[in-house]
Amino acid sequence: MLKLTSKILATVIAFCGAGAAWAQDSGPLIDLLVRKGVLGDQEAEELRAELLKDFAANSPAGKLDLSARVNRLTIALDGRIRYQYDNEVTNSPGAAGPNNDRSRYRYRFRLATTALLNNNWNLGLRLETAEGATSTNDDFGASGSTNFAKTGNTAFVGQLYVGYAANNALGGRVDHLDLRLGKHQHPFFVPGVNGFYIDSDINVEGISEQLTWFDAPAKGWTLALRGGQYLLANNSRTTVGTAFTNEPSVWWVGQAELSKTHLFENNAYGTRIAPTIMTFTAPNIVSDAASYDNFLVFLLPVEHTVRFRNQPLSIYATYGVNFQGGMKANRIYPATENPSSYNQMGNFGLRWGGARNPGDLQLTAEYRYVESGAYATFLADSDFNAGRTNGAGYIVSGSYLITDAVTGTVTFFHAENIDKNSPSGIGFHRADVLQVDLSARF
Amino acid sequence: MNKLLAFLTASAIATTAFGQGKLVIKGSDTLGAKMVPQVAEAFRAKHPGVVFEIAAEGSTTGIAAITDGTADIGMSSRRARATEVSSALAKGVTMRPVIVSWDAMAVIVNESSPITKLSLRQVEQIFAGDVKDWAAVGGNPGAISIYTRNTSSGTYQDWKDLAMKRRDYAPSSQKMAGNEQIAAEVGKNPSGIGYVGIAYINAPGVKVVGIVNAAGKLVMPAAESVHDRSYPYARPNFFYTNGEPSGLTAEFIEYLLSAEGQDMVAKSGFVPVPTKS
Repeated sequence: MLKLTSKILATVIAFCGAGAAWAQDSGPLIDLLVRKGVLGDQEAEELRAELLKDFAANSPAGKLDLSARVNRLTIALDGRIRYQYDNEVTNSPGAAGPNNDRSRYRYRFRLATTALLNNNWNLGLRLETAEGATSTNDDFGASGSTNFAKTGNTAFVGQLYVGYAANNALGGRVDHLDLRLGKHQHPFFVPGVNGFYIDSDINVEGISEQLTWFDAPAKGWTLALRGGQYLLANNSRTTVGTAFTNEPSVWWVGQAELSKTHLFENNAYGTRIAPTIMTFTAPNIVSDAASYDNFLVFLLPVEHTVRFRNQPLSIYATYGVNFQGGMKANRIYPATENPSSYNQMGNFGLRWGGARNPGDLQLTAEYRYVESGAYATFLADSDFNAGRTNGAGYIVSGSYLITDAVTGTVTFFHAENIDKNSPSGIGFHRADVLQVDLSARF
Repeated sequence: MNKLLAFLTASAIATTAFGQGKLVIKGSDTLGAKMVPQVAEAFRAKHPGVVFEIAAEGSTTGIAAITDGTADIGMSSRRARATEVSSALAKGVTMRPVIVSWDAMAVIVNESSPITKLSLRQVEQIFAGDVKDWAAVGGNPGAISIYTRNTSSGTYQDWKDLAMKRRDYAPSSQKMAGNEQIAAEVGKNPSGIGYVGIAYINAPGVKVVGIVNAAGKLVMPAAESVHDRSYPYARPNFFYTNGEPSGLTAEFIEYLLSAEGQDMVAKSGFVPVPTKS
């Protein structure tokens, strides 16, 4: 017994000497010493106080003052340095602009903090560079009148949301419930580079819901129902006659995903299929009619992933049709033309590689096709064809994980107009973009 | 303990030979509601020249008062947190704890309930919301009404640590301002359950539930079960000082830890500090 207690005491003393890293873990050991009668209660408290003092003085964690309401706080930062070359030729080559032929040297950061609160609630905030909805990039060398000025190098609130995520929710009727209210990342399945039909830089504003059932409708399958109601314009200062309209324009999205997947070496394998429907509603005012009318879109994204050369190989595709695409095309084209069949869109791609561990390579090749009336320009990936409709082309991309935190990526986008005679602004004669990125994150 | 008492005695004799001065005590409402004022009154009877200023506004205020130098003693029903210790260190203050009493947190139900005992696991499941109906733990069928302290209370967190493996409370749990309020609500509600300090177990309409501890033994909250460590929901109460107590502060703490002082601790409903045999 003496031998055992001597060893234990020696261990505690060693803990004291080891400092902050051990200080917070020694509570159970002190409790054990008290139970065994080696330490008295007061001696134990003095030892605890000494260890806590050491922890508070020497550990960064001991100096953080977090509310007891926080169960876990996550701080994440990603930074990216980019070279980007754009070459965009208008539908009438040789005519006055936009004929962009330019190089840009860009950067972005996204600093996010997420707090898991008590009783399944959470709170998230993300600051980002750039004010545009579909870009987080800021440009070097474009900041005001003096060299190296910081003018315009501003951080914006990209996300601010309150969420609720719980297992066995709604009295056990739902295996997992995830709700988000505010400005946040959408929950929808969007296979393709940069999110294809919802640009991955977009932070939606409104409510997202996701209800998930495991082993449904059959063992091994998962059913997820997702909904989104997002404000596009609140119209609170829009007047019709002498009164404020005060009726918001809203983007409505619904998606049902059926999947059968499994994880292997942190990569998901299997099949996902997610029929999606979306529309806009807007008050009958001129400004909103131009942006939001004639939009009732059905999309069918699918993805199947198999193992190939010890890495995941994903084959993905999306087919989409705007049931009011003909009307939209007719509205945006001159009256002399009849582009009423321009209402379909889609992508098809191959992605190989997990991009999970240092040394991993990920290669992607994708074909895209978006007709003039098929979709909304402010939702689509802004790097392909500048987000415009009336474009078909390809994307090739390669990423290499230099370390588990640092990635090098090269991506090339090429698009040409589907309707060669379309008016200016509806697609490009040709739009090429080259991006060379070095990204780091934690 | 003997070493501490010897130090306190020496300090007291050296600095307060005439038993005069002012002692500012701030902190825990659990300690400051009854126990400390009673001991202070008895101390004053022996030292008429001593003036006490006691403010019981929660453990956090007591620890902050030591850091700020606005109190001689900080009462606390919980241990100081790392951030509080680091804040104190930044101001040159070293938090020193002295255990002055123990409290046993009792699980109470309405006196009409057939429940007489619960296991550790059942207590955790009830307060975390895993078990929602009394029938699941041998009671009359019906939804369980859970009463807890409010989130700003040190006891709220202590109960999670002691009884719930640090899990969240059931979302349906109702937050009460203090022990009296929990006891009153459980006393009125046949489906109620809550936890109170041992000083509050004799409230009307409630009864204490025995706990089947990790050794499989049925134990009730009492001085004996706290001292022999068989009762699982026991916690020490502290006086915090800036470094080693001295002068009048040391004298008062010495008195509280004396047999006479600890007798008053017991009479005020708390568990005295066990004497080392």
